[in-house]
Amino acid sequence: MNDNLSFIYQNDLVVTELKGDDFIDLFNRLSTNNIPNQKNLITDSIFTNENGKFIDIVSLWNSNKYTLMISHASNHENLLNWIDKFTFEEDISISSPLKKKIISIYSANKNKDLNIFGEINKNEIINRKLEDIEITLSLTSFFNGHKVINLILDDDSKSIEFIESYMNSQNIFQMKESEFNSFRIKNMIPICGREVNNLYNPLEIGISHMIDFDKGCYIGQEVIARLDTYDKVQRKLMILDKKKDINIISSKGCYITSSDDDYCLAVVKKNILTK
Amino acid sequence: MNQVPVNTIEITTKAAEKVKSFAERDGLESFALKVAVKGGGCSGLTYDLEIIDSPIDDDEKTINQHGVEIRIPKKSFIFLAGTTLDFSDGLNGKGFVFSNPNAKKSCGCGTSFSV
Repeated sequence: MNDNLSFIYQNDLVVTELKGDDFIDLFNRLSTNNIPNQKNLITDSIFTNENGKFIDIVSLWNSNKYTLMISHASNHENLLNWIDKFTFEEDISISSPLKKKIISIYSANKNKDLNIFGEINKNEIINRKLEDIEITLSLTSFFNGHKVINLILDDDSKSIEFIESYMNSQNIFQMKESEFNSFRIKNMIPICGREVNNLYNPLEIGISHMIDFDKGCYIGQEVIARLDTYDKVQRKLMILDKKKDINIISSKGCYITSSDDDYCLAVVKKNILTK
Repeated sequence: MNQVPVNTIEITTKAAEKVKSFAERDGLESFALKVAVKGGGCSGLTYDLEIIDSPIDDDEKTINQHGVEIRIPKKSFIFLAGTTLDFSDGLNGKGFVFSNPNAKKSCGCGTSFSV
């Protein structure tokens, strides 16, 4: 992968629409981040269980027209059941998955400008019409702060053909799955089902920026706050060189979560590293 | 503390006086105390108190004690039956305190519990 921009379809993500007066309040009581009731803003937050382990990571797109929730398709039912379990009288409805595609555009070069759609502020939501195709786009970042443009558009052949053609005309080409895998390993970007699962907590995976330590309580908060306050996080996500770090890789307490030819991501017990 | 019958909840005199003072501060002559349970919080369920002046809903259970009308949504009552609501003041006071026999676990802040 070079410094040019590339795109990838985020096929493991699912888009639903949230309605009702209480979903922001409810999500604030169930997830790690402070979710402000502010239009045209994206907020990422993590649903955790009583032990502070992952249920799922969601991204809320609160625009003037609607609020979309982006979560992981492979974990969608689990997330809905979790939310339903704690919904009593709250005015909230979550739609069936919408027929939408999410495309991420980024560069291997962390500092490269991503202004192909004009100037966009981070976490701002922009609705735009390109010819007669409606897109919703935002500039956010991967877990490591690496900038990315996310597009949401209708999942139909006309929209897809148009956007692919548009991006190709801007020298933006689709990245292969294997290239994306190597890119995210190199940049320590965790994904659902690999690094994000109910075996680990957000502090171990290094995404504490999605945790607001000053907000009110939510499920898992006491565990997460204690781990952080007393520096008791026992494991951490690391990128390991398959040749140079063979001692760590072969140790008990090293759990490989993702791998390519040369490197892997692994959740490693800290006591191994001190030996 | 005396055991509260499971078909009701109780409010102590102290808590009732505090509710009345809040209502008076807000200029409410006719009011009720809504006691409800919401999902979430560190133990999974969270107490929710609100002074309201709206008409009674069909799905609310009503209890009158110490001059305070208490309204409890029926879905919440399942988790609150037998509860005593007290008020703890002073420098180390916790404010309104729930003593809930259904709660198996409570969190440190005292507003969240699990059953």
